[in-house]
Amino acid sequence: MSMQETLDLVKKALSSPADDTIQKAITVATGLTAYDLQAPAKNLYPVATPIRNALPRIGGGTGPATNWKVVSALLGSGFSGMGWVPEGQRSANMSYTTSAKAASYVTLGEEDYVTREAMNAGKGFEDVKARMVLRLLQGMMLKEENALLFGNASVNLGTCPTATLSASGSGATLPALTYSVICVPLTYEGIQQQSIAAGLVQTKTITGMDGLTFTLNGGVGQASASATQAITLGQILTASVAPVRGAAGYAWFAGAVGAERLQTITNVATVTFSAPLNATNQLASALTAADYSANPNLAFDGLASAALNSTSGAIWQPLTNGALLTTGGRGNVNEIDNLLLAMFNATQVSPSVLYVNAQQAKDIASRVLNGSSAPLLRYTNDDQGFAIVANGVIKSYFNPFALNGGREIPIKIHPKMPAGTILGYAEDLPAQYQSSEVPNVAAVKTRADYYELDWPMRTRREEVGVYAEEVLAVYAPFAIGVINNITAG
Amino acid sequence: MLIYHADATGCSFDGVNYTPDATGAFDVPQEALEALQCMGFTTQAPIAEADAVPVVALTGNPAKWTNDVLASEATRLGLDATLARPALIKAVAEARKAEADAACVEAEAE
Repeated sequence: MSMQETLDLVKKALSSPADDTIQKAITVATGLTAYDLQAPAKNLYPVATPIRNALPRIGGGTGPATNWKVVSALLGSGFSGMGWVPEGQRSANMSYTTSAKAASYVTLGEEDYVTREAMNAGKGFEDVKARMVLRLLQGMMLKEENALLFGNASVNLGTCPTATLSASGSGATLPALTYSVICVPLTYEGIQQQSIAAGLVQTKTITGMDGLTFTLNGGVGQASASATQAITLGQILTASVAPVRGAAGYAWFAGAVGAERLQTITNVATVTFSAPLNATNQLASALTAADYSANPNLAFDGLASAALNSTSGAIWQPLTNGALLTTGGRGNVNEIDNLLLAMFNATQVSPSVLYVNAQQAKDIASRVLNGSSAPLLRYTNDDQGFAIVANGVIKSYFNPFALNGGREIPIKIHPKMPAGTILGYAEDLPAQYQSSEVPNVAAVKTRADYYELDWPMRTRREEVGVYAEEVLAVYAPFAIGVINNITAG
Repeated sequence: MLIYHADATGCSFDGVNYTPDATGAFDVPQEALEALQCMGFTTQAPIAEADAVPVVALTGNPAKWTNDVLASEATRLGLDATLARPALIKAVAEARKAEADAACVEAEAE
């Protein structure tokens, strides 16, 4: 090609419309960009373990259980309360009430693994294994928090009482039918594990990382007998059972006779049905007729179970079905007063902390900061106008029933406390329990505190377990009091 | 025992169903009372509208009331309605004031 021909081709190319490919630019959308990844991964989950944090941990445990002896009463000779003795004579002997106590050590644990590929792929981002172990420990502590509050080795809910039903009211859309209602009580541990969508899981067989299996009960009591009630269109079906000691919730199955399905789970022992019922949830007939409340050989009793065991001596005050907390009109809550009074009368003990659900924290504030108690409040302002902060919280409650002038008790929200429950817990015994040798009402006694096991390599993944062998030793279960079955509002 | 409800047509306790009789009463065992009270049942028969006595609010000065109204109010307040009118007016006025004060105290307490 001659020089002239080349020049002609260049002129022609420059004078013709431009080709798209040549004109296209590189933009951000092209993807030739750096990746600004903030390391490490952000762990956005709460790890609230106030009970675990507050309870003392005492090591040195050995053997299958920790044991202690209790002297629970002194019985004076003669007339127990009269010490009169004639001149020159001797009194008779006093006597004691004693008992032997034991709490078996159990094992809590959680495991996880990371593959070699994941470790290598995470280099420069985060130490995948170290962060996994951190999360493992946090997960384990969350499980331990549940155990320390709600672990259940001894509280068997038994068969739920048969529901009481009524047909009344108007304006409902529940179709006319003779409805059957079955109620299943759930423990404090159980209510957190159960859901309407999945249905009640009475037991779960878990395959461990060693390939062996074990079975846990799901905190589900035995279903009640069926109760029936005819409803005409427009009426509301109301059901209730007598509150069950140890139950934090109730699962309600309702439907035609023989076709009762799980409709709802409540924190109180009563429910109303005013709309057409669910027709696809779990059938009551799918439940095994047995009590799966407790795990007697695998668990220890947490604070709530230690109190709600019928032999504990602790005060349990369920409210009447449908009852709200009420005010006494002097900045107090009657039901809390009743609990504190009953605890003092029974054992001269005052809680040092009240653990509540957020709902009850709201309700307590509503009862205390209502119209009749408003005169108890005062706000001050200067003459420059004012800016008032709305709302308030009751952060502690004064217990007048204690020696030497009463005691201020902090009210603390616990995120795992089921709605409808207030748990009062005396972390220490009052001064009149002289020489009690119980510096803490409850303590975590450990045989082997948290330990990490890095399992030998058996595949191309690194397996890790975090375990603890411990038991919650509750030396004075009577120093715990529970109000439950509180309707929200 | 007999219990009543404003509009319930049936109830069930301990697996046994109960329906109202002609007077509207449910004959249930004593132990059912607490559970059913939580559902609005009461031991008092509701007063039928036809039998209800219209409530007339008495306001103002008792001195302006007729003798019949004054005697009726005195009886309600537990006073001796045979007192002479001036004494009765004074007694009724004082009793009504005490009653109103007590109602205010209760309302504040609630």
